Amino acid sequence: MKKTYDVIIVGGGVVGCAIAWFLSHFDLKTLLLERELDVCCGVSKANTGIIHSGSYLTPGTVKGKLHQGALSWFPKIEKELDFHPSVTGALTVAFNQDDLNYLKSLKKIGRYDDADILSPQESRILEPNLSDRTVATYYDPHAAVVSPFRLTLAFAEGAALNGVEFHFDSSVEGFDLQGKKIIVHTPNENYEASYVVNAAGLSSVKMAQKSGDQVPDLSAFKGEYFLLDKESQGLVKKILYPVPNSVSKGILVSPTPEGNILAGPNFESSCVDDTSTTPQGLNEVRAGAQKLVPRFPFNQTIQIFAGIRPTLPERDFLIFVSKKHPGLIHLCGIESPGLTASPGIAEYVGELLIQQGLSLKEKDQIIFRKAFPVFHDCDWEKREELIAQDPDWGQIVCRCEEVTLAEVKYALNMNPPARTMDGLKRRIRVTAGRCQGSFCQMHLPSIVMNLLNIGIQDLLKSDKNSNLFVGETKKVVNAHATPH
Amino acid sequence: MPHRIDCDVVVIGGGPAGMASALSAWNHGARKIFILERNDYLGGILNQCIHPGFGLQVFGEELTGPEYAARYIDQLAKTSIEVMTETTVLDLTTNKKITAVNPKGVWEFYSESVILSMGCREKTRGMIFIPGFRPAGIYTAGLAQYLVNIEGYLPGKKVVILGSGDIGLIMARRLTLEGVKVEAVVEVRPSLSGLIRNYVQCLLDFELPLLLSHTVTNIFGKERVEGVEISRVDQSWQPIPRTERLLNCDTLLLSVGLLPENELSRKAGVSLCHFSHGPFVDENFSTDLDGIYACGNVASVFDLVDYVTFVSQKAGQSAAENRVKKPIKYQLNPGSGVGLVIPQRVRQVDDGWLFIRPDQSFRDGKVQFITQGKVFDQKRVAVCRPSEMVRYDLKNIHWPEEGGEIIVEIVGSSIEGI
Amino acid sequence: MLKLSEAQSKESKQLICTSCPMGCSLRVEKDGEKIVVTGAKCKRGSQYAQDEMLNPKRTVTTTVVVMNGEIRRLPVRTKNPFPLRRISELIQFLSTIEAEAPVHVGQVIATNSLGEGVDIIATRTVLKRSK
Repeated sequence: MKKTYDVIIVGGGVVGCAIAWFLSHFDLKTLLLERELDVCCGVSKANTGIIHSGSYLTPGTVKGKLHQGALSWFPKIEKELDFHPSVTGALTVAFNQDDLNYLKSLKKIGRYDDADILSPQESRILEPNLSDRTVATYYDPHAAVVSPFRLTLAFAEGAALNGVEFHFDSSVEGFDLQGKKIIVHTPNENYEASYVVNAAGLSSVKMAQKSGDQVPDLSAFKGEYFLLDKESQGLVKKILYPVPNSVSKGILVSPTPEGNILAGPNFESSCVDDTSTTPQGLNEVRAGAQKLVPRFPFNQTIQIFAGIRPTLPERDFLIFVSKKHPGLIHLCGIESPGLTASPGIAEYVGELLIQQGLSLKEKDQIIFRKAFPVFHDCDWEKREELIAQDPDWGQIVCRCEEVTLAEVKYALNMNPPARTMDGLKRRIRVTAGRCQGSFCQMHLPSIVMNLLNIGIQDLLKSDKNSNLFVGETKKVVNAHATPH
Repeated sequence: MPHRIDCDVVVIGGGPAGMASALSAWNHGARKIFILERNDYLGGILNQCIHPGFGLQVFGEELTGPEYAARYIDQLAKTSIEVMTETTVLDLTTNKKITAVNPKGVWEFYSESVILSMGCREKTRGMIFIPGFRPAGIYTAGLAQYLVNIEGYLPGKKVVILGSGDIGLIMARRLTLEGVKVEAVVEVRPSLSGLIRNYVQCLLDFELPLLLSHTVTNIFGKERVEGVEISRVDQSWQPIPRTERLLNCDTLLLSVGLLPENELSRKAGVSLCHFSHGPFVDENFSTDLDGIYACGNVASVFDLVDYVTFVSQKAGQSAAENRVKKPIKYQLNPGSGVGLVIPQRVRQVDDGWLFIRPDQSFRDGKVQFITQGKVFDQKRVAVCRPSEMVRYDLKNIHWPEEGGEIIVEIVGSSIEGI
Repeated sequence: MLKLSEAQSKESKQLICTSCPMGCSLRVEKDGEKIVVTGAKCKRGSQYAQDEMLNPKRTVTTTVVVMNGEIRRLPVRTKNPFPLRRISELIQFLSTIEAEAPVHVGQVIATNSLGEGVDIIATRTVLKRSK
């Protein structure tokens, strides 16, 4: 018996979740299908986490239009999802005349009255660690940084609170587009929907091509990153952008909302499932970071990682209704500024759905998401209050990020719940600190197994085959224990 | 309102350093003493070090880690030192105010003396920039040791260990005894990092290969480790092109270095030393802040728990007595051949020790003490290695009359290979 | 005239001495009853080489399953050094036994293991789990 929905969203990245949240405002039966075991596992997982301000719009493009539309959504996101970007501001840095001409063009567009070109001296008052080869900077106070995990999860939580279903481990193998309704095939189940939104990120082009639509092949371009210890907080307080080149925004240096420093990404040819870091890629990022901040403290690195950009030849968002079925919408090539534009993309998808005949009737009541407290961010009074309500707030599970057992329990029980260590990381920061899990991973496995009532074979890092352990000691015949 | 406790001594960390310093403070007259421990048991790292090698100097016996810990836990029970477990210290101020949390609430401690004994943590993959994927199956050796020994979880079936320090060697044997295939122990240096005894009893006994002058240059496997690439390295530890080789495995264990855990020390504004990565301490293990002491691995990674006990006893005594300190007479710095010296500050030389860690293995070595460019004392060492600190009684060194900077160097023939 | 068994007992080994940090390379040759050690710079080294040739022993440490305890694995050791050649058998045996909490440090878990006259003792006190 197939389950029927008004809309099925394929893909639980920031865009899929934003669409889910958007649609959750309306009287609809909506389902989000995600191939992995959690939201935010693809492109959304590894990027700069920057909400680019309007200064950086690419005019005349779909991305530019949707980026612009997105910016007006953030007040609503703050209100309904209790999600608050850190407005740090940004400096675009010029090192020569050509760069300076670019800054002047930004100034000419003049998105914001309080954005301006600064002299090297003024720039270094704001950012003392900025290179002294700086010729000028364009200061935009409106750029912000977010945790891409937390934004994706905020959308997902908001959507789930308002009735959207999330099914994980549900890889969409194909569509049956013959009938009025679309049949969506996954290994475990088949679903039926009037409308399907393909927001499958790195897989969206293949999915579109498979359904018979003409889409140029996807190119995957990798970007590598360094993440620094919170000890380096204050190295830069604003996002530092170089002048963009023909292929990308360039290698940035940015603070993160949690107090780390991020450097990256470079731009190198890769393939869709290759998120490995490479010596050459890391060296490119080193050089780029050092250009902006000559004394960039690489010895404070706690993690290196890479993300993949799903790029199309036109380097623009390709969002269109399928020629093979009027209810199928494809979203392809959602690379930068996909994170920033996500609510704008969701709104546009809503418009397309209306255009295709879906009736969007606003609900009378929307449940607002209230963010679960973060012990680390609470003052001592609040911490005391929390522990008095529930002693689990007094049990520190992750020393580096000051995460408590109460937060672990929340993360395992919320909707959508964490079911992997990386899922816990995305929600509550365990394993994301300087020790990268050396402490919390001592106790968390047992804690999680007890709380979820699962066995050792079900403890996963991220994907289905990413078992943390192979078994227990004393249950294996030791063929190799023979001393000579 | 937070719980408020006024006391004589607070010890942060209930491992070997914390226990020994608390007991020493008690034995020197302090009475209101608290040990704050984040786990729900005392003993710290000793609990997972189930192998022998502890206590030869302190007890004249060779004990395993848990047995050594038991001796101190027993002694603690005979005092009225208060132990608060499951209690994590989150803040320490310059004025020694401690704020901690546990399931019973928030606790503020106002103490005459504070002893820092938080131990150390392990260097991780990101810190040494190993490129590749980030699959499940990458563990630091100490974490793996905890999981295997305390929880009974096996990290994998086929392991490559990076680092031939003692933790790596010990885990090679431990995993082999649990039926895991250890493919190789890979070491970036041209010589063994750990003790010869461990090389023989952990690697040779089980015919496990040791690859010197090699390092891991890539990690394969998207979900779980599928293999690692190793490469030969040159004298500057840089991979040599075209020497890459693939080792199949499902687990990579990293035994690549320990870092003293000084987050609280930083919060308090204690001055930290760049070569020991812990606070600057004097011969009584007093930091540069009045009333704050540091002992054990938080001050500098010690290899012998016996040394941890000795220095912690000094710290405990100092904390109990809280005497006015004489001015610093000598500032010690490591020179050629020396990785670190501790204490780095010496006020008086009638008591206490100097610990020196060589930065490579030497034969026919001479430890030289230099002031103003002149060697004022030297001592022979037949063999010394990075894995074993050299220890001298301060009173056995012929210190110069005039105070100032002292450089400690080691000259000798480098040992290559084992 | 050599007996067959003696004729067969001709063996040589290359060893690293672990008696002190020098780590001397030793060569030990066994010819029937005779043992010749070369490379030893001291008496301890000679003795070490002989022991390693005739009857190498090691202190063996591992864990055993412990039931109803605060923790799930009890660390144990051989009370005295145990023959190297039979370690895998010992480990096999120990993987089949289960201790029951409470167990106290020093408590004998198994006596005269594998007939080698060596007891297995607990190295940590594990009390009964409270819940």
